[in-house]
Amino acid sequence: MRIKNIIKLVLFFTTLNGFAQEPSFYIRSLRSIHIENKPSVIQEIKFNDVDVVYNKIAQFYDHKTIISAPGNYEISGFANINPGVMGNNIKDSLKIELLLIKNHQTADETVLGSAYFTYSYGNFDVAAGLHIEPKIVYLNADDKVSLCVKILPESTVEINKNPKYHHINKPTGMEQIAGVRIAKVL
Amino acid sequence: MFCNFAYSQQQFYYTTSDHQSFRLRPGTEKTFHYINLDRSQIVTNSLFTIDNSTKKLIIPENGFYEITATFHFNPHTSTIKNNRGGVNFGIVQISENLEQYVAATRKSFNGDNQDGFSVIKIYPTIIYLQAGVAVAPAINSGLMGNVLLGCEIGCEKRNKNCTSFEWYIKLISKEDAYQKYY
Repeated sequence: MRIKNIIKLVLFFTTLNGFAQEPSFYIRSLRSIHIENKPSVIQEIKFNDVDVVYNKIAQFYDHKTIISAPGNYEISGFANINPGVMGNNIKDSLKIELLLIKNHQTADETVLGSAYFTYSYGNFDVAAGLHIEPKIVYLNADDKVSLCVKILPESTVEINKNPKYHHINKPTGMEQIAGVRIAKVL
Repeated sequence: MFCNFAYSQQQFYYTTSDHQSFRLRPGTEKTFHYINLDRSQIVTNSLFTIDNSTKKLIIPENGFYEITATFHFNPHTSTIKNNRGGVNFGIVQISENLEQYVAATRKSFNGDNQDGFSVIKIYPTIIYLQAGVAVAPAINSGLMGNVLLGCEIGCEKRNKNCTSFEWYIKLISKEDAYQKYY
């Protein structure tokens, strides 16, 4: 009887291990994205269905990432941003912030994490990676998680205002554009 | 315990304080400069088949993989101030017709960090990889104004045992899928 139970236990673990899949969500954009020249305004980076790489913990529809079950999650995100201007003065600078926001444009809107980069003269037309480091946060079922960008008001240079220019783009020499990872903390 | 068992993955973890220098030239963004790995500095490996003759780390089976990495990098220059200083760091997928970052970070250096070490992180990135492709850590020139003749991954003299490079890759799901590359 004891041996039978041990065999059952081993089979249970083997089956569990065989189907083990990490409870995470990962999405990245395959397309470059335009940003409006609107300092202080939070602009959402929109992802599409085709951008979902891996998803075991959320629903994704209408460009929204919606958490399925409450719990602690590790979140992180990135965007490669090139302001696309030259700048006139050595003292000029341009500061852009990347944010992960819970329930954007609702009464419950909360910044979950952020990162910023200050572009300096000579580097205004070079993509910089803005990376929000992994952080554990509590999320409820139906919470929406958005990746957003904001041009900070202390900037002394405007970003490229051509409506056809895409600021969030592949940097020279690499393919990555923008992405978000959400992982359930076990 | 149950959860740990259930999610015990095939994984590979490497960490080193070794130094390696590079010569990055503007306009050579298609040239990847690979990080030399030393078998003795592999901390954990239940993912790759590695023996004394192994030259490449080959993905063993189709699936979703999660990658993280850290580079401790110094451009060692005074030429970035007021000039372009974009450099890329990451993990490259290599197959017959493809040599491309599957997880990467762009670091744009400026006058403040052009002659000192910076920590460049590849935060957890999930990708689908097919069995048989090789994966390797690399850096390449992004958009730069001047050549970086002696840039390096390594440690400061006062902290020789720092982590100069670290790489973790694990198989997180064997579910079938297709992703173009990253």
